[in-house]
Amino acid sequence: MEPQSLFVPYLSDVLARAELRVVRVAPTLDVDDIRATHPEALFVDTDFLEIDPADAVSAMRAAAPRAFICAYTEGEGPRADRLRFAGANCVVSKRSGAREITAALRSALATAS
Amino acid sequence: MLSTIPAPAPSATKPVRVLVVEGQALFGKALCQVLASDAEIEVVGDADSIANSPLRRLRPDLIVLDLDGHNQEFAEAMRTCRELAPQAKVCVLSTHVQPEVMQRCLSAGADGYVVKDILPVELIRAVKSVAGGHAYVDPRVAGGVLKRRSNGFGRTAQNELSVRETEIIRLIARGMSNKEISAKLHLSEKTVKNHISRIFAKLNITARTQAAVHAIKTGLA
Repeated sequence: MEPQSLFVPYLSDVLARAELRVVRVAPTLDVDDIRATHPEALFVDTDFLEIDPADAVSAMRAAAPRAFICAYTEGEGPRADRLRFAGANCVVSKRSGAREITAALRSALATAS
Repeated sequence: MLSTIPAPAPSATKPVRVLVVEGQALFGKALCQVLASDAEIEVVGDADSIANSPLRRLRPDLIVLDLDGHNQEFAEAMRTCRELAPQAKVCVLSTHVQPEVMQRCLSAGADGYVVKDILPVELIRAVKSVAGGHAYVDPRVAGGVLKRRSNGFGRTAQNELSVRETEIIRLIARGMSNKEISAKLHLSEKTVKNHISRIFAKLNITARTQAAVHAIKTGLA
């Protein structure tokens, strides 16, 4: 879930390095679409959501109980903790570079599986 | 009979030298990739903040400056740009679609205002437009300004916060006291108090918490 279309190709490359293949890009949260798509993983940019990011992650978790959820966020500390508590398997800071993000995703995926 | 179509002559104009200043590392790289895909744009560098970019050495024609992702005050970043690269145009990148935020950037000297969900082709158009000496503002934000004017809110300009007042309200929203604000901005406490009184009058509020809420709601903090 990433509304910044100019970011999507580069982000997809980075996700591919963590062996995550992008099958669909959504500009906004669409729970029905998540239910219909059955993704194995969800990557969400929390800074463009129209609802509270933690509520959005909860809704995603409810729609896809077994999916790996990665929240990509400016928030750190308590805000990141809220996302984890809401159901995110991995919270990645927007300050991170490609290597750090890939490493964080690989590590979280290994733990989740 | 076949006629040969001559290949287009190479562009006689020099490419626009662009510096990307973006706090989000990955997004910064994506921006560079998109901009570099255009033959008339040369990305001369990227940095996570104005403070970390060799502005004087790079001498960019245009700086794409992230509003949200770095710690430096925006007005301060603009001042640095103007001091170290006076020839450069500045195009702000922001997540905010509120007209107040755009007006604050333009008041601080920005030449363009782009929202981050812009399409790649539109971003390239915006950069070229600003580099060519034209202003560029996201149509949604510009539409908001026009709507407010047509609704009879023309007095907004009068009530608009100055750059200094904007800096102060952001610091209020961070929970800083007058003493801390005066130390940070190198102002006397009395001057800070005067600014705060003017902020209260302009926003028609009476408490710091209301100022903080306003700052958060309008994307200043």
